[in-house]
Amino acid sequence: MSANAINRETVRDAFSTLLTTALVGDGLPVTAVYNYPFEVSTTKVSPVVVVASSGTARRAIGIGDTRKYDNYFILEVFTFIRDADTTAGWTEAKVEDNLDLIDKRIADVVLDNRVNANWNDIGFSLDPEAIPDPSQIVSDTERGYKLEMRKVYVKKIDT
Amino acid sequence: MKDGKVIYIGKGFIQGVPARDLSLDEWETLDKDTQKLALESGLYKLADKPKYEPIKVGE
Repeated sequence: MSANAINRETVRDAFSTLLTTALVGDGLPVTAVYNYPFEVSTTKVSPVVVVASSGTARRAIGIGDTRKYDNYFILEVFTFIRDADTTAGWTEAKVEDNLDLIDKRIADVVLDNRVNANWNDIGFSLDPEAIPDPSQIVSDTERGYKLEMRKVYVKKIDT
Repeated sequence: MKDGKVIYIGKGFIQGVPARDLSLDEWETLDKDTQKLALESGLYKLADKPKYEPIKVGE
């Protein structure tokens, strides 16, 4: 039987769908979740979350001719939020509150979906025992936005 | 002033567009691309027009 390693796209799309359900909609903090990277600074809509592929590690498992992997997928999750906008009535406090709320909601999605049909584990570090790397927030005052970047690690064992 | 309004249903915003319900007059000050973006983003929706049933007078 030939190998059939899982495609990283399956995992990225599934995680994006979960984020869309949890973050986008009436009264929810995000306007759109995209499952692909693009030049977010060009969008007039805010806040936006982007999920991008960021790397893979695969370790062959089993003995003999077993053609399966432990797959470790790394996803990059970007939260893009525009600076305060007087016309929109969007204050500095609102920007910061939303950035924090989105961070919390992403954390909730990860914990609520530790295991599902698409993966065997998900978290903010590759090694579950390690202290995760913190997310990073970049402010672009010239173009008027903040960008929070974090990595999400997904483990999927080939079936 | 025109009747009707555009309802803000999101929690995010579009640059330069008030993040609240808009009157039709305000809506029409936005360029077409921004109006399209506002509706497609799901941040705003057009309020339903009031429906008037015809009154039957005698038969």
